[in-house]
Amino acid sequence: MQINITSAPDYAMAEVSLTADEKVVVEAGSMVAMSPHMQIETKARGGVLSSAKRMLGGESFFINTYTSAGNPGLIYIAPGPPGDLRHLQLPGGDFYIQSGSYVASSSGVQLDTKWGGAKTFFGGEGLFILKASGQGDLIFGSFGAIHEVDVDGNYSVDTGHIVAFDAGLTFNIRKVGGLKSLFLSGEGLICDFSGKGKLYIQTRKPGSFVHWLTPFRPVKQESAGGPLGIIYNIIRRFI
Amino acid sequence: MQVNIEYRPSFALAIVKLAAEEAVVAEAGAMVSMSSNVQIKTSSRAADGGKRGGILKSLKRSVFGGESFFMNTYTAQGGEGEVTLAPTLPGDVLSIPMTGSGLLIQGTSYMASSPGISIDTKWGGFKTLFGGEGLFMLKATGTGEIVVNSFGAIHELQMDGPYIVDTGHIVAFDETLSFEVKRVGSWKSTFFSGEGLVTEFNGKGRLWIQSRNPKEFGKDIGSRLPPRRA
Amino acid sequence: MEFGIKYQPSYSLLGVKLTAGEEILVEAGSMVCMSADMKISTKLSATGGFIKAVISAILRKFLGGETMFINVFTAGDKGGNILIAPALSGDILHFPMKGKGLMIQASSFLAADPKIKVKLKFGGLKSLFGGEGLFLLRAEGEGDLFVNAYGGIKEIDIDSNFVVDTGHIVAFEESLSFKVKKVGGWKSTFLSGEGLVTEFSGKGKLYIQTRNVGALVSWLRPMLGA
Repeated sequence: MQINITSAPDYAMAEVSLTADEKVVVEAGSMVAMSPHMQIETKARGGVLSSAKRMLGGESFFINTYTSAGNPGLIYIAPGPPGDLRHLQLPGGDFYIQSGSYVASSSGVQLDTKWGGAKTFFGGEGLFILKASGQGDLIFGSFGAIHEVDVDGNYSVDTGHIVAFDAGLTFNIRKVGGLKSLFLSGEGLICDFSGKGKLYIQTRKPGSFVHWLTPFRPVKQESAGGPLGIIYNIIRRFI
Repeated sequence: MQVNIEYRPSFALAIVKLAAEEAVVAEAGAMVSMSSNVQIKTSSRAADGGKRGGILKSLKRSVFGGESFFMNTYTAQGGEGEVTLAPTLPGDVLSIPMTGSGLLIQGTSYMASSPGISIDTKWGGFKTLFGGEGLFMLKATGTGEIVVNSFGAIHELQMDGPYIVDTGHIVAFDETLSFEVKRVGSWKSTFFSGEGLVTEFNGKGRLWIQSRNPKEFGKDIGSRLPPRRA
Repeated sequence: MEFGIKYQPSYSLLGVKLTAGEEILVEAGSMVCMSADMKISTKLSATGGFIKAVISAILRKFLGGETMFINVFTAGDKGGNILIAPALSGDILHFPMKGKGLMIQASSFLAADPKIKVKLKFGGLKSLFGGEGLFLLRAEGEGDLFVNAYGGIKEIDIDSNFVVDTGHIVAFEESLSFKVKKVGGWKSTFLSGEGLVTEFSGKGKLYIQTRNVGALVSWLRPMLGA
């Protein structure tokens, strides 16, 4: 596939050209535009009710596979938050990406959401670290600009700002400050990296932004639960 | 300290290089990354010279848009150090050198300053508040660097005579300017026009504005999110 | 009027200079700063009879993401300046309208010369779905028209069918025909997170934005907690 990134670095969009019958795996909800003959395949993990839960915010990692059936085709992809996109050719081996930063990959790249350290980086934000392995193309994005750091020794990063890092780095998570961290926007978790490798940082933190939006949200009036409630909420979301 | 700002104007990052034992004061939550020899101390005061919390606590959250207002002091120990800082919202960061005359900064635009600058949070801000809306200003005095952030690009205007600015777009201005917060047009215009409160400036001095209004953006996005518990 | 656009493409700021008594229509809430003697009057953002105007305006507010009101700014005796910025960050595009009609996604309208007629064009019930909805305005007449995008603006010359996520549409020439449809089968529409899309055919220019508020909201959702 050919990948061209436009509107960088602030509202980057990837223009992907596929050969006939070539596939690309894309984070759900990121399709901007595509040739009419593209076929979309969604893996409904856990059945219909689980997918419903995902739409209401229950799950945070959901992917679609697009195939350019019969002819070469185009697909434009952009993630939800404003920011940049990076395209890397993975040479084999492991690469770690924050779950909200994953955008797309070629079918040769395996994505593991359940490896050991996945959930240790974040408090309760619904985020985790994805492990990508194998050979192929990977596109990831950021909330904000991407700041690359060539770590050689030690470097510490607020976990909300981590986009991706390569396997040459080992990591240790700790809490910053004490009780006062509870008052800070975000989780107050710091990751101490050591070793030699590339670290990608985003210059904005999703957790702070979510916290900032809180007073602007409508206040809960009544909640609808149960299967009927889920259907009601889905209809409301569409309309 | 040396402040270098990258990724302007949209997702600006302030890269602060500290000499050994040098410190920078920054809003809690602004730290992105730092070298391992930097020590963090969270101040129990809401600002240099002020009492903890105080009147700030009773202010409606809408004035700060949900941000806390505590300061951290970052000190490089035993050698040089680096701290990178970023604000919550997309937008720009600007470092303004202060040489004695005071600067008035909109509450949510303050990000960091050198320790020689004193930030007064109780300075006359309340006369400009209309039921929790309006201008909450900090007054910065002293010598050193002050780092402000904006939502959107920062646009500098040289004021000379009367000019009207939408309140949500104000980042900072020289204390040589006089200002008055008022409603735009008649009460009907305020209610319907979407413009709300404006600030009329007079006099000579610099005014920095941001090209986006955080409250408008917050309302636009926030109203589409699922409801929260009260 | 004279105009200039600064800080493109990300935090575009539109500056307009009006001559004495000249007017400009601006989406409510977009004024950043202006000359002290500018007059502002507010009207409902729909043309037609009063009742029709109120209903259209209400529909626009709740479905199109637009506010109900448009402000008319009139310069004083010495002319005036006004700086305009939309709520969302991104690019601003200027269209020098000369007779050809332009279809604009309702939330993308920013400002216009009052000589331009802007009318609501209801995209049909189907266009209400997909979170964003395809809520269109039709602009025609002569004069300057400004639209804003969330993100960058990309111009596409359509020459054969092309499918676009509804929330990414900014504007398109009238010469294009369009159909709102499901992406894939009903299961894909329901599960894929893509919802409804718009298929364009014919020949003409299409302007898309590289971000979409619906996708921003979906990205925020899993992080929201209670």
